[in-house]
Amino acid sequence: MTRTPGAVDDRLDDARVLARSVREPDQFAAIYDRYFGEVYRYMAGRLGRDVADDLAAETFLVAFRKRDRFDPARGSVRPWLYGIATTLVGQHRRKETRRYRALARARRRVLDSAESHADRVADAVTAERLVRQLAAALADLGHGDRDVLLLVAISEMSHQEVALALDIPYGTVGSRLNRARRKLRRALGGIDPTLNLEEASNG
Amino acid sequence: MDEMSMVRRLLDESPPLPHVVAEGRERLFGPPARGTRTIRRAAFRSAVGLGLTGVAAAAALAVATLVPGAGTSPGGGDPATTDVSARKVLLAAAVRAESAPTSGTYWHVRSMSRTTWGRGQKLGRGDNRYTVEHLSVHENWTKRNGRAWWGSREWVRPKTTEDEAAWRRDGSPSKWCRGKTDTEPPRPNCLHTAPGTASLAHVGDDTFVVAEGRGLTFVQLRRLPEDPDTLRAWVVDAVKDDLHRSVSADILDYNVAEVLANLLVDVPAPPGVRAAAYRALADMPNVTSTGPTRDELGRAGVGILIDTGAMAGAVFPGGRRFKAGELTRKLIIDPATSYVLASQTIIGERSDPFSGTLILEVGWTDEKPHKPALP
Repeated sequence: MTRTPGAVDDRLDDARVLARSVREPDQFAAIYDRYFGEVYRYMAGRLGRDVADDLAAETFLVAFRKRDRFDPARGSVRPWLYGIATTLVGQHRRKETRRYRALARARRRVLDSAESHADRVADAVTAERLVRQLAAALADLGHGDRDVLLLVAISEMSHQEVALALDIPYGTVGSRLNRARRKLRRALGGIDPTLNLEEASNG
Repeated sequence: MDEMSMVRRLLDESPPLPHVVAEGRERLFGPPARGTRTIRRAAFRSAVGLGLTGVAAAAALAVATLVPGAGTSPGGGDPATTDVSARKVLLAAAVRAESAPTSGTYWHVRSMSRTTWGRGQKLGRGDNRYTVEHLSVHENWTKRNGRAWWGSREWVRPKTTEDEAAWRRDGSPSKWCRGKTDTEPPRPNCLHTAPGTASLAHVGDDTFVVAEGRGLTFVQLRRLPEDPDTLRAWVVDAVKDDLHRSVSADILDYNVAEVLANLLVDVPAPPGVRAAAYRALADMPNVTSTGPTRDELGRAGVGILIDTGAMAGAVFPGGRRFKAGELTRKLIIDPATSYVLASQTIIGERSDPFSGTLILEVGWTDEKPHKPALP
């Protein structure tokens, strides 16, 4: 058995490791090590770190219990994990919405890095407004649309992966994503409020 | 930035803390038996440097020598770059930080910020054009269980006396509203000269941000290292983790100083962690003191500068490129209490855009959340 270093197909490798873990549970540690961080960040993005601290671990516990039912013919391990994670997120919809509403109210809580200090100087008000509008729009998205949007936005999944993760047709991914993006863009409005400010008072 | 990158940035959270990774593993496999593999130190990250260009590839190996003393100047800092007085001030603040009170029901921060509105874009009609500045007062209360309340008031006013004269000639308008250019305009978007009604909202569970949109809970803050070297190593790791690519030692230092400073301004890091952050800052080669100074409210403190020379040539989102000396990053600390009075970022000429947060009150209190009063 020879492998060219760097040419290993991660997805095949994952599937093989997962299959092996059915008999050798310790093998599952490789899946955990490879994906815990990114699954955690996906869940923390949607539900906050507190919830993710617990729920990311829960995702892998569920995956571990179901590992014998993973079908490599249907797809790779990553979307399978995200599917489990998204189902768990779905049990906390209200919490998720509250988080976005809180972000919509928060100030200096976001986009507030040393990097964006630069933006902040120039755009403090603009940036804060946009963030609030964006967060409010996220809270208002339909669940299905939001799942697709955030799998793509946070986890940078392909449409194919999203389709596998959510168990929906490939074409549906595109239409949900487009709808979600349209809503966000509309909520952001004329993206730079400085551009269309009416001069008269009581505008 | 399109809406997808905005969402990504808004919801970007740092990797899990090491104990979270370890606990998740334990839930699967039980407690570690033998020498388990090292879990990579995960951390919140400073996003400075993302999108930077002009970072010489030649600096690729420089990251290996970022810890002061490990580089080419054995035996301590270079006198040319280590400001002794900054060191003294920061070490004194560290001692004060150690004995800061920690009793009280709420972590409370009352702050004020002032920024030139709309990049200095002018309002008004005809010849009567003027720039306004945006002022806001924010007040946060957070309980140890994470429950948080937030209140604010905001308003604008003409920036200079000339601006004020032009504003008067314009009829002293008290309100400017955004035009309806979209079929579904977002929520009302007006600027007012009156401070408006104060608000107070319960914001659910809140976290504390020390870098780009990354929140830490009380528990997570409590677990930060209290040893300066360990804390700095952890921050270095966090920053490197974020910068991904090789980064020059001075850019890394800039980022590390920023994250350390963020731990000191308005987050409830425990006294030991704050002291460690001060001590770690004292050892940074890029931190100097400007000596005794006063903040905008006339409060006495000591100015601490973080050298931004490393950021010259950096391109920020939007295509803006910084020239050397154009960016100033400054803290004013009160060495007697260890608290930060003001945190400022100044771009360009000192007379123009000011961005800063004045910390009016910070610390633990039993006083219940209420609507912010005007300063």
